[in-house]
Amino acid sequence: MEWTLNQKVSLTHSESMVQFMNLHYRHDRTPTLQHCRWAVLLIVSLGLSACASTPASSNKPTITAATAAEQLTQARVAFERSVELGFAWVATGKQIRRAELALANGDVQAASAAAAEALALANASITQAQTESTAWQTRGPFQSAKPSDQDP
Amino acid sequence: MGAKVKIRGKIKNDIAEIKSLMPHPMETGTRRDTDGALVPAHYIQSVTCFKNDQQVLQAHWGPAVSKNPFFAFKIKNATPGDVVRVEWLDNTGDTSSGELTLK
Amino acid sequence: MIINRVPHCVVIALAIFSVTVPGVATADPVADRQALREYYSQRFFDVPLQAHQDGAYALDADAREQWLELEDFPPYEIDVDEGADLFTTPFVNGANFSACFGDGAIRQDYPYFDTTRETVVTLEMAVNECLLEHGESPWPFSSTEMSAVVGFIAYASRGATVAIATPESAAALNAYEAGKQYYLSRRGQLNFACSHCHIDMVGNKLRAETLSASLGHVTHWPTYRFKWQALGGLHRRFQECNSQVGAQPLDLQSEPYRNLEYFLTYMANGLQWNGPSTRK
Repeated sequence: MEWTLNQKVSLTHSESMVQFMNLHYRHDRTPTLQHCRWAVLLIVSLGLSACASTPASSNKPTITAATAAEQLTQARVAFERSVELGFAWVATGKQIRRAELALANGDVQAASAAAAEALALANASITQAQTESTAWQTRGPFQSAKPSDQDP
Repeated sequence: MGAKVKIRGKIKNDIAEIKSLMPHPMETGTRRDTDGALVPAHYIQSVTCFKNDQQVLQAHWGPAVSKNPFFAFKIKNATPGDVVRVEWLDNTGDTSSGELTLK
Repeated sequence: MIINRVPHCVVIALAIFSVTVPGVATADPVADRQALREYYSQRFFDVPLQAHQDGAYALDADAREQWLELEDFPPYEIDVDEGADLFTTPFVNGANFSACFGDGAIRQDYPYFDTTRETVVTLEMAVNECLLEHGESPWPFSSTEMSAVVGFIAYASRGATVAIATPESAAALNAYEAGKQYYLSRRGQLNFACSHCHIDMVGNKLRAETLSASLGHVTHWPTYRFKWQALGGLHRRFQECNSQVGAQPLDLQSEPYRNLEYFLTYMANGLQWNGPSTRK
């Protein structure tokens, strides 16, 4: 569809989006680029519609000092596990200290957020330990290295 | 008396190339130790070099110079047998030197 | 990677034939070292393997020039002199370090796998054992005294060939394999293994620094790092590499680090001990 300056027809939102997508149809070098444009359109539309909907209210439990402390304990346990496995991360320890400080200062929200982050980091490091228990064999120029379909 | 200055040098075409290494903590005075207390300033303030007791160079240093400074310079009209001496004086009044007889 | 140069049929054949369960039974340090040397000689066809004992200075001409100039009057000289003093300072019982280490030219005897204690013994451990043997209290591994004495021993042993005995006992092979596993495992939040920088990306730049080959990693320690403004040991560098990828560093001379040192030193067999050295 050719775009000319003389066209002054007012288009609906979706029509103008479609026209935008077809604008440089012939100039897209590969079908992939065309598909990319449609994918972008789809994603943007979905994103916009998601934003339009009202978020569920009051589904989250209220954070108290007790819940934050519980989260911190869980994070500590996971961190200790990662240390045991030999795959502890510096960031996990930092977040735990942050949570401890926030809890000591009475900032329950910050403590909860930091503890949740610490737990996520600790769990990721544990996953790393589990994956690496076998993945190491695929690396290096050594003859024992097994080719793997995972990235090296 | 501070630690002795290590000094080496050789003559090339009448010019002596002198290299020296001065063991010295060179504390800026703004660093804090593990207890949080300020480590007092302790740095070389002036370096004077002599060729046969004649002053050939004077440098004024400060806390920007790193620990154990390495200092190299050249002296014109050097002849074998000349005695080169490098002296330093720091902010605590401590001093040290190193000597070399050129070959 | 070397795999790219090998024809597909060979890769498939290798895949089919390597169905064996990995473990100590298949650990082959001789083949590992050969494979690593071949990789570096192909990757850097104009750099003799021996040159990698100078680390990144074998790969970066400008840095090498600056380093050679520095070697004229190296910063570790002060520490080596201190180490020489400490080496001959009498213990409480009148003996000194020469009772354990002779004239100090014994760097090439470490690390070794102690079959009785079933652990890798490093030079730093041996220094402390010497102190304990003679009624002195051991030094912290991070102390300047430890670095000075190790620095003096390294200086006295310069030129000796790295010749670690090939691990043969099951326990020794376990330690070797553990070191190799540590080297090849991703770790830290950045998810890097040692091999990613020092095998896959060797010779490339990491910010302003050239990545060195692992072949010569152990030979030039302890090293005076300008960053530290001090002489430090190999395990201190391991700690730094760990924290640089976001992994919690381990203690100096901890078992994983000693196993890693054991693996890397075996890989360096044939190169020369050329410590102490200077690095940024």
